[in-house]
Amino acid sequence: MQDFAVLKLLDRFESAFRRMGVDYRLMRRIVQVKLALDGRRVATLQMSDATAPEMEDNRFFRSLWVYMLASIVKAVLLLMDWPLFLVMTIYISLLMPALMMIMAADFSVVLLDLRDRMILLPRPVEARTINAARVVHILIYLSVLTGALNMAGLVVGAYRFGVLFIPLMLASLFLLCLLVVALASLLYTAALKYFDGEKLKDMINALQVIIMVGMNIGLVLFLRTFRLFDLELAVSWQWWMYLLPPFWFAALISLGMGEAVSASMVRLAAMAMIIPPFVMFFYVKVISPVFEQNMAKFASVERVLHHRESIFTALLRKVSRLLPGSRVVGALVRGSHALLTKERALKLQLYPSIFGTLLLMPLVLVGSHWEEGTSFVEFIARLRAGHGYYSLYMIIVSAAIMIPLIWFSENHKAAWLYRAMPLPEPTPIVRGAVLGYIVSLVLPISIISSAVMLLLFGFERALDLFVIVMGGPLMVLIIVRLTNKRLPFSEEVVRIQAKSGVGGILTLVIAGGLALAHWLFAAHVSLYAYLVLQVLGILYLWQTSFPLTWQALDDDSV
Amino acid sequence: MEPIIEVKDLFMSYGNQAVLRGVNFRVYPGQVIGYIGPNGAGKSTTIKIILGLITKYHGTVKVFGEDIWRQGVFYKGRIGYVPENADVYESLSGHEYISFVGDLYGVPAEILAARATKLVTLLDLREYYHSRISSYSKGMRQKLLIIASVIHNPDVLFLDEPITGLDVNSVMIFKEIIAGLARQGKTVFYSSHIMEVVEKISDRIILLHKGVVAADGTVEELQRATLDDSLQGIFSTVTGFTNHKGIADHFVAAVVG
Repeated sequence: MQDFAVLKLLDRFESAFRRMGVDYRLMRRIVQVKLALDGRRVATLQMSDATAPEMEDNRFFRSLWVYMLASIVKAVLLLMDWPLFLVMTIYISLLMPALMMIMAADFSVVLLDLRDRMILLPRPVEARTINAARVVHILIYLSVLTGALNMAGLVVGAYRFGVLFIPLMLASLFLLCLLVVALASLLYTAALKYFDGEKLKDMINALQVIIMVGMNIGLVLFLRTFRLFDLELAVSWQWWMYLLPPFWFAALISLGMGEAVSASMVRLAAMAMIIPPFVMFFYVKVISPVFEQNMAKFASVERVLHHRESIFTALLRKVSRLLPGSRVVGALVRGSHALLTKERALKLQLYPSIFGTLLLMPLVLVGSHWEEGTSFVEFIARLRAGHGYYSLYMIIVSAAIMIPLIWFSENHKAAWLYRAMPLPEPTPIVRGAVLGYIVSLVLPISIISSAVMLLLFGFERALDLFVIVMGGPLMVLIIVRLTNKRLPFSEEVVRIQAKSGVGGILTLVIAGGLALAHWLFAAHVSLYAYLVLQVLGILYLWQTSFPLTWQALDDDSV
Repeated sequence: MEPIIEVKDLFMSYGNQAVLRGVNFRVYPGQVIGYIGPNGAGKSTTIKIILGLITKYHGTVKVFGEDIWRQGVFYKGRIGYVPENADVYESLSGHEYISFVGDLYGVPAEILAARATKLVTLLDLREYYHSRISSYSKGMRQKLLIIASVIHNPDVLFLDEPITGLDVNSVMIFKEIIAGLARQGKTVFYSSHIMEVVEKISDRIILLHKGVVAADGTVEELQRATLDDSLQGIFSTVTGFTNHKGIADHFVAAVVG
């Protein structure tokens, strides 16, 4: 087995690990196996295809270039002619949510992995050591990722502030990673302590969604706040600066560069250097054994003595049985509703973007039509005079864009089922899954939000809103048509942005096109004509967008 | 009598590794077939081919008297299947999974609900029927898969290692279920490594070794042919494996040495 370079780097911290009560040699060995496993994930899509060459391919590293691209955008910030402390505060405030988000989405699976427990716990390995291996494994990945996220920032920073910027920035980034991982682990420990079994998994899932929604919104609010304040005056001392980690790291960097030296600066910088290692030390030494103990709760079986079906599910069940044509379509509608609302890996990708948009919409609407001293009546009047209802397209997009999720599942191998069924063609399966997505997600979201819009904008906008709602299924069908089709819930879950085959840009083009057509028809022709066109479009796409044979599906999914 | 399953000159390979090298057998209605063989002999592959999960094979496979290649997929509606790896959508509850499968097979809603409720109650899954499958133990999951495989009242059952993880009492029930289904004229194609159970429930043994049928007959016929009294002995003789004692001795020596 390869001895990874990073492990040799790790060796330098051996004594620190020993002081935390970790069996360093053992932990190093576990991390080594984990890293080797990561490198061997085979990138084949079809499980039956044993002929495919084994590729030493790591998906993680393929997505790195996206992060690098994002880092260039952030690096521009470093060219601004503002005080270093302010620039770094903004820079790290942008970075930290991104790291938390990646942590919540991608690494919680690693943190909460039960499988290696089955291998490790029967052996004489201490819980603390197992947990430390877990944390180090994550820390390594998060550090690589952070490096990618800040590649451009490092170069630009060195160019502008001098070479000293690089080691300072790297040290700050590492400390930041340490803090993020330790905080996330503490949070999960708390969740593990108070819940068990499937409830616990739901709780953690909810927690992840909340973190991600919070980050999305926080970011936007943060940017808006900065617009409101006069940037020149921003560096004035506030006690709450001590509470926000971005200020600590910004202080560390600007102090290191010899700028803005003051007592409070030194205090902030000291916090950056002391708190992350301390939190990590505290976590590994004191908390992590509790974490591992409580992990066992994951395995407990729940009993449901009184089962109650939700009204929506019951309604869906009854209505889907009335579907003309195919019982299979109905089965898939119900099945995909159940999977989309229950599979945590899917929910984690689905909900943050949808809820994030849902929560942001009112802020955007209020923000652009509200000023100090506006009365509610004036506000509504001003709102109704404009075309703010077009913003409903944003919500529809956020729901429609996730349609490729229906190809994925945590248990993708369970898709053997479809081929064992007496189905001459896969068409009804794929159709049913798409329809299931539309009725269980796109329609409820658009109906509820358009109802709110209707109250805000008045009934004269009812037709416009109806047209926008009709755009939802249309958008979903266009995306399905343009992308590769597979068997529903038959592929391993990955971040779908990387895998779906339809970029966010394409979706925005589609949505923009629909909105533009909407506007043109409203201004020059008639919305009723547009509505008719939409219905025809939906019917046409419904008839023509789905693979007709098993063979075509196999060809498509390769 | 017409065979219900007929496999003739079945060849199949993964890449350049041949798995099946000319498998031949016929199965008649009401038979319980114990399909056994060493790991990697091609048992699961045969079953997957008959079910149409693998399509790249050479040879003829007839089910219900007609070539599966020619007759389309509707024969699958008369087959039940428990796959070896127990892959299911674990986020669904047992109830949701059974309903999903039943719907795909086209079982009318009322029959489905009534039958499923009876079956889960009988196998002691009632309390967990609305829990996520991910929280099930191995045995519970296996029970659920067995129920899912019979929910459409199939004529032929393919069971690939169906009793892994079942407790002793459940295995006793399971054996009786198989016998009962056979008395109703159902055909059961049963693949397992647990020889005691195979010996008990099978009318006939088909032993697959290195991609061909190495032995085929009732347990008594095989006993006479091989002069072994247990199925385990027959298995070792036919697969030409007699060195278990020697290997074990060396193993123990290596552990303590």
